[in-house]
Formats: sequence, structure tokens, C-alpha cells
Amino acid sequence: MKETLILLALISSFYLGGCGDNVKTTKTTKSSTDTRMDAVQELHAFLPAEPKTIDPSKVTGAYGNAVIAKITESLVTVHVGPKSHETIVPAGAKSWTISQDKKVYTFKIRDMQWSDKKAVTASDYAYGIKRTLNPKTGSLYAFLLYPIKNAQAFNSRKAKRDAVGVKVLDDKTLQITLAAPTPYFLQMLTNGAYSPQRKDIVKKFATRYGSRGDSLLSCGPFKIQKWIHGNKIIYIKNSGYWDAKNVHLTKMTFTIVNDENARMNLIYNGNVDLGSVSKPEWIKKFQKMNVFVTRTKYMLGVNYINFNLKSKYFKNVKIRKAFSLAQNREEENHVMYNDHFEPAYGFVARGISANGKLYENEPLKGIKDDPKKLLKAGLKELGLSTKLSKVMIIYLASGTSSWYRHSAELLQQSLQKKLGITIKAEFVEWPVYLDRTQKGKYDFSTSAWSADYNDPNTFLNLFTSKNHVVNTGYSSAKYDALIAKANNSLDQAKRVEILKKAENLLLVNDAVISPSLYRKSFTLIRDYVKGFNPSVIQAYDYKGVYLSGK
Amino acid sequence: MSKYMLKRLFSMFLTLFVVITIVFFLIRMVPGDPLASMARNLPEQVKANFYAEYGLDKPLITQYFIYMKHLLHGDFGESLVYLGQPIKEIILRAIPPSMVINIHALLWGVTTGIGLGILAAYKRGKWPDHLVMFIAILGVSIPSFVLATALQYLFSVQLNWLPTIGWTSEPGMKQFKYSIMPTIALSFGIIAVYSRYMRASVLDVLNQDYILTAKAKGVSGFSLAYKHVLRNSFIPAITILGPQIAGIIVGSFVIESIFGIPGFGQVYVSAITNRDFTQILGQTVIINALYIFSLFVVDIVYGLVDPRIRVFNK
Repeated sequence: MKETLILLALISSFYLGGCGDNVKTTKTTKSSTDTRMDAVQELHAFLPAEPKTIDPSKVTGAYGNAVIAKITESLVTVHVGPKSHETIVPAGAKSWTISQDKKVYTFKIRDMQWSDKKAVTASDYAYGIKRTLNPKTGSLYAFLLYPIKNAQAFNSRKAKRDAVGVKVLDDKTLQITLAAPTPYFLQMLTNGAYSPQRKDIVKKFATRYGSRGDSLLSCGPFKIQKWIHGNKIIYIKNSGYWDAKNVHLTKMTFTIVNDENARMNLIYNGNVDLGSVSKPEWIKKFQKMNVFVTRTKYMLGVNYINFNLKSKYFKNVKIRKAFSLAQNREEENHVMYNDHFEPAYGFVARGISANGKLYENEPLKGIKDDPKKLLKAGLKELGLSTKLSKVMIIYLASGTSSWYRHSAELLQQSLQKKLGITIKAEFVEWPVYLDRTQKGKYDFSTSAWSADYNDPNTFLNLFTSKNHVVNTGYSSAKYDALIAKANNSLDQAKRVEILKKAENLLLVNDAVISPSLYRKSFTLIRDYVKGFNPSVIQAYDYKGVYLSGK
Repeated sequence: MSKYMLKRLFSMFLTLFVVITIVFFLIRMVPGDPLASMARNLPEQVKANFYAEYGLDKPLITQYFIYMKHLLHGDFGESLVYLGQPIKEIILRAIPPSMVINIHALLWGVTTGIGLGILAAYKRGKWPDHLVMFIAILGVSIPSFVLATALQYLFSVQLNWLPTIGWTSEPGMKQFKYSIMPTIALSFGIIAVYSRYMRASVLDVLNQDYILTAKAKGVSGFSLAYKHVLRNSFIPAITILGPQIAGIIVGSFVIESIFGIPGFGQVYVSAITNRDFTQILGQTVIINALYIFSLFVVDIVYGLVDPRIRVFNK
């Protein structure tokens, strides 16, 4: 307990000083040591879209999770230290123990309360987890809870609710048993799907639970004062929060603005105190104003080409590899993103950690094979004509707007130039794209994948045979075995080595996909906003943020 | 009269029923489902649970009967994308912005259009006539979205007088500023249509025998124009006014999307993109009910304006 308190004190001081090394300060007009707080602590920001729901069990996407992070207390949370080093620290659980076989986690729940003054108990956490897993809830992110023993079985109606490895030992003790040692399990607990929920409130609001601002209770740093649909969400400080002394903002207003230009104008005019920006021309414009701090962050996402391994040409590994090597990642980054992303030679996104360190592996770097030769060899193996001008392959684009056309043209040009073949593009709407790729009616296309949790497994697990989320038709016993072996390994360093081997197999030996770019995000923050320090993956709760000199 | 009304009422419901049925099956034939509103694909198991929870796993025909049963009880159901939000509430939220824009556009467009039409008819062959007809041709041939983009370029980008896009739900100066460009973009076409209709209709009436009779009886000037010419000339205008009044609520899909107005039209378009089946159906029902009803009202109003048209037997 004492140790926890010291740790928390440390964390608070980090929050106040908080600037990681990936934060480029364009200009600081006031001394960064100025920690005097303004009398008015009200923050204004925007949300690019209305959250579809804020029911923790049903939430999908970043905007809903952003709300949940502010009003609930997950068992553990991510602390971002100096050099952006992230560690898991206590939150809703004041401490925990992990069994020798790494399968049983026992959490001691902190003394804290819901916004109606009732105590938060271990049962609330257990209820929340089981509600997400209940097939009748229809949760789309229930799979994030599958590491728990019998969770997948319950979610698939193959096991009873009581068989799930979540037990309430007493009011303040929660025990979670896993199916297999899962090194990233604590990371996963920061997701909204694991939130504590109150059974009486869920029953009271039934289907309306999470669809209105007043249909949820808060046990986090803020509570929702008002959610005007399609317009704004207003939060006020939750004075009953256990760590209220480290919550400095008294009010936060998030206006919902769908249009990008309108959002940029809000940042420009100072109507909001911070906001994320994606267009390079806007970033440049803002940086010239000298009133912003630019925060650059890896989004833990990667853009990639996926091949249909059942299609005429791409069933051959050499042809796939030829495409992968012919891809001009630098050019794509320059033309489409003004060099704001990073060329990707690995599939696990930059910024992902494993074993307490950044995971770094770029298997495609330094391969110097001639793509044209590989392509010809592949065609020969398939018994097809090696006359390159006669080869025509269709690229399936996942959108129809001018951006998709521009991006497809670029890809066509660079592949045609390097390979000497004809690439034709077909543009379809996103729902049609999903349908076509799922049914395997395509040659190759581009996709993006974002991490669900901070571990390489969130990327590499996608291509195991049992996982059908991205349908490439890939099925390799060797790959499956490597992933399984890694995830059952208790030795963390060894596990990372096995994962790297699997990634090499996926990208080099089997060339199932071809990564193109690591995604990055840019947040422009007015220089009077202090203590803004979100983690790479966890939705931000704004605890620790304050205004000084607005 | 009551027999006619009953017959009309029955045919109204029949039309509505046919439309709902067609739309229900049509939207299911388009690839994709509400989960397409997510930026990624998901594991099979959670998708299956979602479909089961929202009844999408049942045979289509069963789903159809369930939907119709709820609809008969006045229940539009819940959104499949904005989980837990009743369709009724989403629609009620979307109507006010559409109404503001469309009432502005209709008032401005109809009065100007009618005025210009009458002017053109009375000054037939002279320059005001040519000018009005030139405007009318422009108005009919330039699509509203082209005009909208041109307006945005001129008034926002070049002159910086008006906000490019956006909306506020609080009435006032700010809302008025947001509404100016969409109003102009929408009303241009209305002006064109009404001025042409009015011109043709006034000319037609002027050539009628009863005008000659009236003139012979010594009716002249304002009285002739108001009592005999204009009143009779409004009939064609009323025909198109009915559906347009219904359109006040429905809004404009294109203009609302261009100017970022969170109205009925924009919500409908995003429901289609998201494959939010219940939302699409709910709005389809409203649109069709309004149109069918407005045509019915038009029939009745005809009778009031023109005694020659009698929909009821006396």
C-alpha cells in the first residue's frame, strides 16, 4: 500500500513535468517550469465524430473509448514516463499478484466510489467482464477478453457463465484465471471492454444504457454533465474520484465536428485548446504560428498490401515477393503523406513494445533481390507466359474518393515501372470492399491495421490459420506453431525472438502481405496546456492536464 | 365524399406498404451490413453474436415480418450503428436544421419565382421577360451542388464573408450566417421552376375566354389581375408546391452534405453508407408518407382554388 502511494506521488510529478522525448516543442513562449495554474480550468476540444455508444461492453472505435476512459477507472493504467517509456501502474486495483505459472491474477480493488456514492466492488469489475463476454450482449470487442479461461467458450455459447475464469473472492478481491500465460494481459486490461459496470444501472436503462450521457455512472476522473447528440459532450470533474487532487480541469467541452476544415478553423482561431491534425499543410501553418506544441506519436498502425493467395498470380510466393520488393514506400510517404508517416519494412507497427522494450524488427530491410527476375521466375513456376506486358492484375481500392484515386494511381505507376506489367484499379465503397475481400474476390488490395493492445501479437495473430479477420487465404502450420510457442513461453526475451521469427516467415519466406507505412499522428496543443501526456494506446483520461497562462 | 376519401386513404397505405417492402429487400441486396460502419473486420464469433443480438441472423422474411409488426405499433426500432438510440429520436433531431434551411429556401424561392414569372408574362417579349427566362434556364441547368461549391469559393474562400460549412442548433445570427449559402443554392432551382410555371400559366390564363368576358364586362387593372388571372394561374404552382412542402422536412441530401448541415438528408446519406438498415427504413417511411400525404392535400386544395376540379361529389 505504502509503495503504491509513493509510486502514485511519483506519477503525479511525472504528469506535471510530462514531456516525452518524442515531443517536439516548436516554441515555448513561457517557461516550461511555470507550474502556476490558471483560476479557470476549462478545456475545449473536439471529437471528429459522434461516439456510436458509450456502453463499455458495446463500444467500438476511438471516440467511444475516449469517453469511457474519462468516466471509468480501469484495473490498471499506463503511465508514460520520461523518454515516453510506458509502464503499467495501479488504478482501480491498488495492487495485484500473479501466480507462478502466470495464469492467475489476483487484484485488490481500491476504496473508491461511483458517482452515486456507492462503493466500487470486485463484483462490478466481474460483472463488467462477464457482460462483455455474454453472447447476448453482442459485444464486438469481446475477443479482447478471450485470454481469460473459458471466455471464448462462453462467448460462443459453449460454456456457462460461471465457468469463466473470473471470481469475486470478497468485496475487494478479484481473481482472474487465464487460459494460457498471456504476457500482454495487463496491457489488455486498459481497454474499455474490461470496465467495471453496475448491474442495477444496466438493468435500469436496458437498451438505452450507454446511449445517453445520463445512462452511466462514473468512477473515473470526470463525469458527463451533458451529451447533446451530434453536438457536444460536456464533462465536469468527478469530485468523489479517489485521486481527485490530481484532476485539475473542472470542465471539459468536446464539440463534435465532422468536417475537417471546420476542425482546423477551431484550432486556428483558438476555439479549442488542442486538436489532432492530419493534413501536412495544416501542420505547417500551425507550427508557423508559434503558439503550439506539436506532439508526434506513433499510432500503432500500419498500412499494407494484402495479396489473395488463392488468386491466379498471387498463389505464387515469388510473385508476391516481387510485388513486396517493387513497392516504393518512400515515394508513397512523400507523395501521399508529405513524409509524415514512416516507410515500413516490418508488419508490427513502430511504437509497439514487448518485454518492456520497443519491439524492433524490419525483415524486409536490405533485401536486394531483383523484383523483375522474381516475377519472371514465379510466372514460369505457374506455367504462364513470361511476357510481362501481357500480365494484367487488378488492384481493389477500398474507397471511391479522389484520395483513393490518387493513391491508386501512384501505386499503379510505381509497380508498373518496376515490374513492367499492367495494373488496373477497381474502386469500390468500403462495405463492398469488406464483402469482396472477405469472400476472396480480389487479386490484391491495400489495408491498414491498428493495434488493439500494445504487443506484437495484436499484429502477428492476424495471420494464424484460425483468424479470419483478414482473408488472404494464408494457412501455415509452421507460422501457427511459432505464434503458439511464443505465447506459451514464460521467458519474455525468448518470446520476442520467436515472434520476430514468425514475422520474418510472414513477410520474407511466405510474403503474405507487404507492409508500406507506419502511421503517425500529430496533435497540436496550445502552449498554455500543460501535463498533456497520453500513452500510445490507451484512450486518454485528461487526468493531470491543467491550464497555465491562457 | 367519404367513399372517395376512404378509397384515397386505402391507396395511400397500399403505396406506402409497397414502398417499404421494396426498400426493405433492396437494401439487403446491397453488399455490406451495419458492421461495415467500422473501419475494420472482426472475428466471426463476435460478429455472429452481434447479428443474433440485433435479429440479423434470422431469415430475411422473418425479419421483414418482425419489422412490419413493430412498424404497425408505431415503433421504428433502434439504430444498428448508434446502439440504443431510437430511430424516432435521431429523426426528430435531424428535422429542425433541414426545416430552417428549406423554409428559407422555399419562401425566398417561391415568392421570387412567382413574382418574376408574373412580371415576365405581363412584359412578354420585352427585356424583363428575356432576363427572367435567362435566369430560369440557368437555374434549371446549373445543378445545386455546382452553385453551392461556387458560392463557397466566392463568399468563403475569396471574400471570407461567410463560414464555408457548419451549423449551430441555437437560432440567431450565427445560424443565419450558416444558412445563407445553402438557402441561395437551394432556392435558385425553385426560382427557375416557379418563374417558368407562372409565366406559362399566366399567359395561358390571359388567353382564356373568361378573361375576355371579364374585360368586356369592364373589370380592369388590379381586380382583373388578382381575381381572374392570378388565382387561376396558381393551379400549376400548387401541384409542385405540395411535394415541396413535404420536402421541407426531408431536406436536401446533396446540399446538406456539402454544407455539413446535420439535417434529415445528411443523416439519411450516412445511414446508407453505414448500412444502418432500421435508420434507412425509418426515414424512407417518413419521406414516403409525407409525399403521399402532400399529394392528397394537393388534390383537395385544387378543388378549393379551381371550381372546375371537383374531387368530391356534392
